[in-house]
Amino acid sequence: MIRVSISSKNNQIIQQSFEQFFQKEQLEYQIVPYSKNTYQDIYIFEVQNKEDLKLIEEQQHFDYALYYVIGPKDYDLISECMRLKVNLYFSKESLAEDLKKCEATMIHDIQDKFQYYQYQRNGIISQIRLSHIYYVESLRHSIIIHSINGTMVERQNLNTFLRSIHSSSFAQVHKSFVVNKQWVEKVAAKQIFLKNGEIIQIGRAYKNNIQWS
Amino acid sequence: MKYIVGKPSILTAILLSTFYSLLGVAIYIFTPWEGMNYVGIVIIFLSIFVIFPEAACNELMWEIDTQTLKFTNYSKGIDKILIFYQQLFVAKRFPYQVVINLEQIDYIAVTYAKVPRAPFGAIGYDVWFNIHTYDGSVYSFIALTLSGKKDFNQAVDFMKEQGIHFKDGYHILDALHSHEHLSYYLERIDKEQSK
Repeated sequence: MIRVSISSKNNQIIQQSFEQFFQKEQLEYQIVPYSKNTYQDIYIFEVQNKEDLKLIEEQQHFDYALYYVIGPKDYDLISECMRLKVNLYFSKESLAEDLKKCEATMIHDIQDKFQYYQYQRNGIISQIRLSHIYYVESLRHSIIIHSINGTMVERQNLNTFLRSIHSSSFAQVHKSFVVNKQWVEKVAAKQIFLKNGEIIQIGRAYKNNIQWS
Repeated sequence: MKYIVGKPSILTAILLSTFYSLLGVAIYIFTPWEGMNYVGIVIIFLSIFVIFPEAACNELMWEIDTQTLKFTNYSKGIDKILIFYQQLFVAKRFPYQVVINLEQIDYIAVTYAKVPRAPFGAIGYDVWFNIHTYDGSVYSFIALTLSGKKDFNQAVDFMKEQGIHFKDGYHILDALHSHEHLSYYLERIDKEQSK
């Protein structure tokens, strides 16, 4: 489920436009009015002038979230939005056309950030965001998924895991380790340093897999 | 400080294992046919090394402390036996399947599921926790089955003290604090929902 928050005076028109997009792409979504203290996946802000950008400035910036702005064709506003790390800027006058133009980028971003790894067995069902998995470790006949939320143990092997996720963000770097490239800070000769401070060993046979560095 | 819901029932495991062991001994001693002696030995062996570990390892278990929420649900016998020996010889502590950092939890939605109960196809209710984290991940697990209401209430109160927000649309947590049996309450709720 993609959590969408909209801050706008013409909420209905904007909401309808984005709903059409989500429905066309068959994405599961939930749109709620903007509230500063909630955590969402996509934040959509409608702005008229620079004053309105304060809301984005005050909003805590999350790496995992997408920030879209709808506003007038104003160069200063657009450059200010770039400074605020806004992902996409849509012109208010031609919202429908802009949405159509950016469809491919939006789908790519959504798949990249909001794809899930699903696990269902016995009395446990988990949907873990792939973008928030640091690395996956193989131990005996199980794998341990290390994510921002903690850890999860599952009885399967690394190959099955890699086949099930269909993601190019993950690479096997050792017989027992698969890392998420998004969380790699630095690659050394024999080790990979992750952004969360952990260090993963590189296997000799898997050096060719580390081509992104 | 930590609270555990669904503690292992060692006493049940001992009683069950003893019963089967005695059965094995009886077969060994009182059967005139020599071949049955071996059957008796096998039953004794199984009762100690298979039946006892399976009965001692609880299917559903969760634990909460000031840092993490851990839970597990091993319903298969082979899983329980492996976990028992892993706990005994390798990990030296109970190996939970999922460990979630409390600081990552946005809220927990409390809900229920209607499930058939053995042996006569009766209907029972399980209480589920759907844990929503800030990054959008969702972890769901059975938090309460038939027993353990007291431990469950204590653990939930502790979680609230730790600042975890519960979304309890069916007021299940309130019902658990009342004297009404949870199954009757959920049956009533379920009927109202289906109207």
